[in-house]
Amino acid sequence: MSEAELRRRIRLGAWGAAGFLAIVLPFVLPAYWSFVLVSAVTTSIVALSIVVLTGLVGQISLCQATFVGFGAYASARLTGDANVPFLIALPLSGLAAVPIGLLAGVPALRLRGLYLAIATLGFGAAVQATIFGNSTITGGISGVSFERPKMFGLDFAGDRSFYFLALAVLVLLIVFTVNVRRGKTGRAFAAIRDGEVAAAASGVSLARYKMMAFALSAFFAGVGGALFGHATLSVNSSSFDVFQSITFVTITIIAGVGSVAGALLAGMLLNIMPKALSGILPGNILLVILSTLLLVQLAVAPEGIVGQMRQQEDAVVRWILRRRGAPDAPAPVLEGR
Amino acid sequence: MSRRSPRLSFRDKVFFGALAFSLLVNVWAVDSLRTEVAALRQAQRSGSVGQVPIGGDDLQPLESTGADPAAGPTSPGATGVRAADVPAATDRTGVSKGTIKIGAVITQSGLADQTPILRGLSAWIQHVNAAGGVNGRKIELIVEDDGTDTSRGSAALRKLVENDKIFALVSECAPLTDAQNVEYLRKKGVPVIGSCVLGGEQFFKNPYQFPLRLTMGSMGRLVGKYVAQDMAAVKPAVIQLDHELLIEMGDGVVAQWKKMGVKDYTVETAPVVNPNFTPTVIRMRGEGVDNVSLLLDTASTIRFLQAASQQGWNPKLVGVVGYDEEVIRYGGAQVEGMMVPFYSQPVRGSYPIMKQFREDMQRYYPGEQRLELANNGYHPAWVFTDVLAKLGDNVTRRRLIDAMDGLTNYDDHVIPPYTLRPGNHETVRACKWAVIKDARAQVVSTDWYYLER
Amino acid sequence: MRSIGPVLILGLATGSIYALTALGVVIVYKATGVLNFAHGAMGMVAAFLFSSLTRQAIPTLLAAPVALVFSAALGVAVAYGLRPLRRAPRLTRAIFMLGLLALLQNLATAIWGIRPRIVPSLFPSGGVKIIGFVLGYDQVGIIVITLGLVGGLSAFFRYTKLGVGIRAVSSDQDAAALQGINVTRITVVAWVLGSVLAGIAGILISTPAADAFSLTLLVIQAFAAALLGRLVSLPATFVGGIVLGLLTTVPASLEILRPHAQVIPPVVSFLLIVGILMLRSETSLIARGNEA
Repeated sequence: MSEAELRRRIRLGAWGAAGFLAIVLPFVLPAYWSFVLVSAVTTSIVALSIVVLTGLVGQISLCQATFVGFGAYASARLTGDANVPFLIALPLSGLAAVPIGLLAGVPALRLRGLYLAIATLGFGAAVQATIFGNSTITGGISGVSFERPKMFGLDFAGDRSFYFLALAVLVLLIVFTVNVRRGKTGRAFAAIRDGEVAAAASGVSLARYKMMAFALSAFFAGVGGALFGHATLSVNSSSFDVFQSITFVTITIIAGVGSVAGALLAGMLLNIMPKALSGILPGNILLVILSTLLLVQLAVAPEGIVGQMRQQEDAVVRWILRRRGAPDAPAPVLEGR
Repeated sequence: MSRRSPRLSFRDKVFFGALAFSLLVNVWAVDSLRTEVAALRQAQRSGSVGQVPIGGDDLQPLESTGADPAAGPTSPGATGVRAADVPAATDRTGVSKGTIKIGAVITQSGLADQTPILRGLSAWIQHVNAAGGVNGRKIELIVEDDGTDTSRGSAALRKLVENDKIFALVSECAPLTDAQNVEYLRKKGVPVIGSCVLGGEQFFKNPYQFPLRLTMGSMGRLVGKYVAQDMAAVKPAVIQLDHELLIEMGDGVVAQWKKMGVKDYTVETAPVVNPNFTPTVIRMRGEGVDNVSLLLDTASTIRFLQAASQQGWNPKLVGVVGYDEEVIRYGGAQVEGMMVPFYSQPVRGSYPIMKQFREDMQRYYPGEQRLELANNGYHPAWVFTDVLAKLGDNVTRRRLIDAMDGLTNYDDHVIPPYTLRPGNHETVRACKWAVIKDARAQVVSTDWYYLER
Repeated sequence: MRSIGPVLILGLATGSIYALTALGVVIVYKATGVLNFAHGAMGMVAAFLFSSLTRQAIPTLLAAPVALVFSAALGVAVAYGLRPLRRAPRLTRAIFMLGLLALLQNLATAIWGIRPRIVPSLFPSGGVKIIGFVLGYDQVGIIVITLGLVGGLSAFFRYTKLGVGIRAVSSDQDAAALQGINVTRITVVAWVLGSVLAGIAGILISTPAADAFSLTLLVIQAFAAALLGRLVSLPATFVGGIVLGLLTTVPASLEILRPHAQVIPPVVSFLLIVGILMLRSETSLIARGNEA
């Protein structure tokens, strides 16, 4: 068996196990865990938006929560008085976040890395102060309310049923991401990520693809926001502030921003882990310990937890190949980042 | 940049079309949100959810809800509140032969700290259990922390309701979580006795929720009345923190001033983060303001007091957090003479139940300093067990709710006697006044100060 | 407000606050290439510590240096914490600082709780009477101290061995190492300086009450001020801070904008940040950005 074949089998196995767990967990865990799982899914979607922007295209954005917020509020209005069916409102909410994403992406035409980070941070703070902070729009502490959809004769009022709905959306977005990555757009994205000057020299339109990246990322985040709103039945603007954006980005980078797996891991880190540990330690101490661990993780492995897992995978592959007597496999090249 | 072809490709056209459309969606969404929130505010400003049947009430009825508040939980309101499943007459969740399970989600960590409420609640429950429980049943209390995280809080709430199967929520206080889960609790028909001071109008709309307090608007009206009438202010001003609840209170103050014919008033909204009051002080002094109501948190109140004393300005003051020892200690000379409203019996006073409260706190939580907050946990629990006792052996959720909805001139010894009805869960609009003198809050009202008398 | 005088003076006072906060950011950035997102959070921790010490009846003039010693220790810890990442892209190190920001906030909340802590002022109350209003001694103090720090630090960078070393490292790390300069020590010194400056800013600015968020968010204004000073020169940073202060105070005093006064600082800072960054075409700013 070739090395590539082996890898594919390992990957397939891992994804299969993950899929199995995703389907079985809500039935195995106590009922109130379904809510935690839903939150993990919506967070994963937001993390996926970061993977698209930062992992695929190499652009940094510290204002993702802003896009999430626009998606959430748009969905509230669309499914509320306007009575737009949920399945139509969902992509529309994603679309509503796109102009904001483009606006945030304008600095990306000229700035990179750290300076883009500062610019997007400032953008997030400015929007937070003007729009989200304005309680005549966002309804202040009581916020804006949502309802669970009723479709195909099913009522998604229960957390478990809504979880599967959200999971389906997540899977769709993952498939979409993988397709984009493999296609022409994905290659252009990768070229930009790996070296803008070279990419521009080979004819890749930096402006168009960067804008596209921001639009796509905002779309994903907006969809995540809409789902988040419908999951929690009510949002207030504190869920979309600068600190949330920072949390999303840091956790996703620590989990591994280069791959879809990183997005899923980020969702779990932010939701399942704190909930699982919450009985053991008082809340604040728990947060401190988690933050410290994450910081240490970043220092030790800047390529993220998924990167570390990839290295493990390489080690396993080499071990298996050696056992099977294949000539020493060439040092595997890390795919992606 | 690569050279662009002069004509837009089909893909580009689709993209720009979608972009234009999504811009429209955004504009419409923002506008629609604004309209809805404004309608909600209007409903709140023009009165409260229901009308208190004490003579001479002339508050205008609700305008845009399209519902008769006294009709009970079956009519939809402006916020799209729909008829919920009524807890079945035989719903005995949480009640067993020897115990009744109650629960609460109380924010104890993260960005807020309501732990004294937990202590007050727990102190009373321990007192009750030590005396043999209620009608032979002990009260089992399960409390969760939401860590100021709504996801965690919502999960904790669901755990309490669906997993632990509590009978009712008592002294519930997790502000962000509670605001998000009104719908959920209503759909599940869980009775909620008592909720945070930090809750808004929506809690009064839930037919199974009994906040046992005034609306923020009514609290504001009381301040407005006192300032205009008892303090004889000529040119009053109110400074409200840019937080929805305090704005609600400020709206109440202004509504009362308008009603009393006060024409020359000023409203100022202070930002939540690091407000700088020097320009405000200079401006207000220049305009001849003689009375300022401070609807602010502790830190901002201190900031204002310091700014005012620095500029040498000494208007009459009303401060809603004036009883806080930090305000008294760091507010400077200006604090002397500041009036402070109390919406329940002063906890350090000599009223019998307060003595018992202090004894219980001393016995179970001797170090607790924030007694005002602890009382917010003790008071609802005390009402709950009192009403529970009247149900006798046949304890169901429905009977509890009906009993609460039937309370008439009920004196819980903490707030003035009140009458609750379906659709009207606001208690009597009254308060007591204290003045800060000699670094202490000294009560000056001998009796309750009513809004409508 | 009726007259422009008080507005300008208040703008000067506010601007000094921004400038004071920006000083530490600029120094750390010059020496290590790391943009300290956690600068405000570090200042917040110092302010909370100072508040706790004064509650124990320790006099303010003693409590402040003690709190600053802890700030220095924090700076050392950060310098060593970043060592594994010293070859990592600049962005990764910035992310590390973001993670540190979250850690410090959670730590502060865990230790001190969430209610704002009362921070006594180092200056006597009362103030100086100027054109019809009183400028507090604490505000005057901030302006004076900031100016003093700018002057003192500029002299430090020019005349002392350590200061020159920092400048050498900031312009070319490898060349400096070749010259025999101990880059690690310089880095640690720079971080200690930055952290102590953050602490000074935190303690001076947080009166009368410090909360966990406002100082942390102040870092955005500090970035704007630092950018106005082109991230290299301290006196320019001071001027940048003053300009930013005026740009935020003057519009806020206009009648039309007064209801939106709190929105102005972040929006103005953001516009400035984007404007400056976008408009600079080929200076060292963007050239450094290419390494990201």
